[in-house]
Amino acid sequence: MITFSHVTVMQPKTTHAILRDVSLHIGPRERVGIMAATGSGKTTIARLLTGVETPDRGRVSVRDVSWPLGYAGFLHPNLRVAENLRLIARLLGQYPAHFTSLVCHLAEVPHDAAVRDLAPSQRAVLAYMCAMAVPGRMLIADDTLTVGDAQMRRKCGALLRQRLNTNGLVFLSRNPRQMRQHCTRIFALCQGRLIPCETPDRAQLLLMKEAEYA
Amino acid sequence: MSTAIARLGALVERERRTRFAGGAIGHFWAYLTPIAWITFVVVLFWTLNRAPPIYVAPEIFVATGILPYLAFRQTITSLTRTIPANRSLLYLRPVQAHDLLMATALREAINLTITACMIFAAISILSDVPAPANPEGVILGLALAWFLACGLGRFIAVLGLISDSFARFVPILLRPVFWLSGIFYTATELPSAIQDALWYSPILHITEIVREGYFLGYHSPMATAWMPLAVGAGFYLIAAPLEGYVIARKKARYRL
Repeated sequence: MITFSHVTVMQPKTTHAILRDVSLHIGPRERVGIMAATGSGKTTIARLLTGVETPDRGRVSVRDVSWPLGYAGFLHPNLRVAENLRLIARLLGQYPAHFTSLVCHLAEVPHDAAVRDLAPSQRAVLAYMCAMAVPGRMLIADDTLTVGDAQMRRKCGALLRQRLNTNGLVFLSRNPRQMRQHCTRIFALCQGRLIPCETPDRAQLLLMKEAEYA
Repeated sequence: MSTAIARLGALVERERRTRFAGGAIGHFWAYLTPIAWITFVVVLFWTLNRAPPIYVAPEIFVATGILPYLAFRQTITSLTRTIPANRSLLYLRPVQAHDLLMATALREAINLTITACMIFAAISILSDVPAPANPEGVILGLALAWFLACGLGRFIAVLGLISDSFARFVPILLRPVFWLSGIFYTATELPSAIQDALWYSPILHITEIVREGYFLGYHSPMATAWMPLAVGAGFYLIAAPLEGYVIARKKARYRL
């Protein structure tokens, strides 16, 4: 569950507001798409949604929310896959043995491989499957809904669809096709406001008009 | 409460596995550093023909001075580095900045305990030095060194979040502590004017507490436990709201 109360977030060291006095409530099973132009602050909003970032004004309340899909920064390169996963499971309050075997199985990564020896896409898959292996959390996607090669992307897509039967999603993107596929409540991020739109195409149109005026 | 303890345990474990990961010697580096320091200073004593001011073997005199200093220095250094080094863990949402600091402080306490036991035992066996006259005093002294470093380290870690220059200046700022901590001398042999000035060095009080505990019959004019305790607690209490302010107001020089 995510609640924004009069949230204002400024771009660091500028007077440009990424969000300006935004109030919003997202229920735990809602599937929300936020259409935003490149460089408009999608990553900052994703960080706000995950609770890592705090707003300049207003209040953000976040409960049972995952980290952005595919974010792999918490995997330590000098540890083996299984060591990383066991420690992550303990940090997240999961059963280490079950979590490790499930993630290794889903990510198709050997548990005794060192993380530094994995390709960046394999690390992203590993982190993605970590998010999928923690039940009950709302998913956050910062432009990335699936990761890996074509076959893995199909697997990620299937897991995502399955997961969205029980959990919510906030998808920040400029891709109307994926948004149409996964989201039921759409916003366009225009001049720091989240404007509700009926469809992703309508949201994209608003962004294009904003770009023309700018 | 139990999940918070499990989380802390996982962070301590991660710290243990990752700090010296990748090298051939691995985690033994944590214990090799103080051994190398003690060896270096003992060799310095022999070379300069300096006898310890207390009638004991140079090895144990140096060890009782250098262990509190290293505990203090190493804990501060680790606390200063832990937030920048582990900030990606903050995405795993139960984990917060103070968890990282707490885990690092605990890891240092464990390292200090193991190092002290290893070094004191090795010196006792190799140099035929008697065991501490008052082990509680030695434990109190080392615990105070750790506590002082936790308070000061948390304060420095938070200020380091705001200013890059400050973070770089910290090692220079801490350099004089080596000379003020009584590794090479005791408070008793100092002239009274210098004793008065060095009374404000909490780490010298700590070294004197450790030596009073270790050496039978040694009494120091400045082995006051409340002094380092008050300084450590003071810095810790200032650091807690400062940390909240820096994070809430986004005053950190990089994204946490």
